[in-house]
Amino acid sequence: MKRKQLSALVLAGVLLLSGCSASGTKENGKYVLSSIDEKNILADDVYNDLATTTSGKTSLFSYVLDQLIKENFPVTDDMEENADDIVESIETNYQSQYGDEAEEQLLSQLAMGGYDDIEAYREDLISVLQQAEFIKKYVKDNFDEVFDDYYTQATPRVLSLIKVSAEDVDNLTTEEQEKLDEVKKLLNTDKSFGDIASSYSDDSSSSANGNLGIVDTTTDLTSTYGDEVGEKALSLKQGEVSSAIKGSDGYYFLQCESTDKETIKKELETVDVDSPLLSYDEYIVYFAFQSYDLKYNDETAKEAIQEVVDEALKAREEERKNNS
Amino acid sequence: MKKIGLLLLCSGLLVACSSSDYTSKVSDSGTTLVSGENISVTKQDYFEYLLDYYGANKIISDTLVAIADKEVTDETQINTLLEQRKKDYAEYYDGDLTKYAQSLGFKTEDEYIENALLPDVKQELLRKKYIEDNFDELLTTYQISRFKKITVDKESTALSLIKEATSEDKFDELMDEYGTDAEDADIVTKNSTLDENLTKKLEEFSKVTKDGVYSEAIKLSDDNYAVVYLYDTAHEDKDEYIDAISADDDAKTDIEKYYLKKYNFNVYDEKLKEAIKDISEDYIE
Repeated sequence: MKRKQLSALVLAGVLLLSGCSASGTKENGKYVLSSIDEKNILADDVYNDLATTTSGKTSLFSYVLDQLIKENFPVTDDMEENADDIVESIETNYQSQYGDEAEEQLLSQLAMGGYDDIEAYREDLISVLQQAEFIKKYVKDNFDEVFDDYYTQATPRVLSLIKVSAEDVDNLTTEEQEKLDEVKKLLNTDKSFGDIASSYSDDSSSSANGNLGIVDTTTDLTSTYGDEVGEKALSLKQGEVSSAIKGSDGYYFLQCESTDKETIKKELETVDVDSPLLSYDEYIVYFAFQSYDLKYNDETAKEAIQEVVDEALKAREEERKNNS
Repeated sequence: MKKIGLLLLCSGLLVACSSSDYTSKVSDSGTTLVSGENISVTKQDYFEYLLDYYGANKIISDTLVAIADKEVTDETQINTLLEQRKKDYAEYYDGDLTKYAQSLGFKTEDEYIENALLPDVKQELLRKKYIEDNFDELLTTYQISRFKKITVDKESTALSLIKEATSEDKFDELMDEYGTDAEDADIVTKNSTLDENLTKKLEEFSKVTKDGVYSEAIKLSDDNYAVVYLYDTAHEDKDEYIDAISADDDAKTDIEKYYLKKYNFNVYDEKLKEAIKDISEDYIE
């Protein structure tokens, strides 16, 4: 009896084993992925078709890039904690905004972004943090060169802001009008912009004397303060203070504290994952990729990857030509 | 003890079989394409990455094209539709098909035609062949009708309009009078985007065999009322109906399912099979 049981188990094992190997159907030694009557679709044909298309070549670049990042910048505890914090903050925001419907709303938003659940989003966040480390290393290793380009392309400046809130910007209350007038008058005195911001600004930056830090072409001031503030912020000259700018929920004054290259360079010397040097140029990833000493054992693969990088850098050049 | 060991071995094998790996290999799968800097990318790695992103759709498309090659053999028909589609898509970029192709990520016009447009044209003709062969049945299945409508806010107004609309010409005059509250919905299927209360009426509309105003004022979900004029109930513009059915997502899937079954479509790689089932559960039996 024992023997029979043992034989049955061995047989089950053999069947399972043969089940595995049988799943690979072949025609003339080549794997068949699928078939219809009288026609097999071979793995080799699908590979050749896909690998020779533009999207196939881009996929090879993406895959190699992905491997480079994963192997050279593995997930750290900091990344995990960072991702946890972001997820927690999102969940808290949804909870306070939607209450009982928070989970449903969050899932719907995640689905719109292509995520099945918050865990999938968290995984993606961690990948983004790994990518940031990858770019960060390139920026650190090539700081002077990257900074020079950033300074030319992104028009960075140190900016401060004062906000005078208004319920209805076209019909100020007496109190709002008085405050606005007072700020205007003070800006014509010797009192510093920062001191006025500290005492009068209704923006959260008042605690830092109105200082918004470095603002450049990648900084989104528009969604918080409106289009006109966003535009004015990048056109002020060093030392210049704007007149009152009408926003959607108040009036704003901006001061461009500095556009000095060395001052800004010093500010950005410590490169962290939030540094604008990592995000001002969407093509920087191609430069970072090129800085790795990869060995190509297949000429077609080498050409495919080179083509993707060359095309991207050509597009970057054209974009810059068009923007200049 | 031995028994437990064997059971563990069996369950281990089971896990190996149902793992997320592809069982199919590309020739020279172990060849290293790129290495150095702590990475080693083989041909199989790249193949699987391609399968992850494009495999399921590629297999379905290649299979349907292979079926189309058997079912649709009129080269003139293929070339005529191909030329038409080239013109249609080029119009998005002032007649420049290359620019359109590039906007989709193809490098050249030829690459786009070979990899996307021609396969699409063949699949479209395959669907149309099926629709032509099963036209009357599909009109019922997808609740096809063709109508114009005027939306008003009072039921009494809607009922007056129904009395007034004694002919198509008269309904057209009323449509002019109601301006933006009137529209020609043209050919619709049960999957068209319509007010839900209109969708509920489609089955009834599709059975009407005589042109004319629908006898009831249809209360819409926003409490307005629709007055509907059904026209071309004889389906004289057959090609237009075929186009409409061909563009219906459900009809598209149902037709594809029919042909895949007819030609005994089979997928041998479990992971790929699951990915295809994710597109439509019914593609594989």
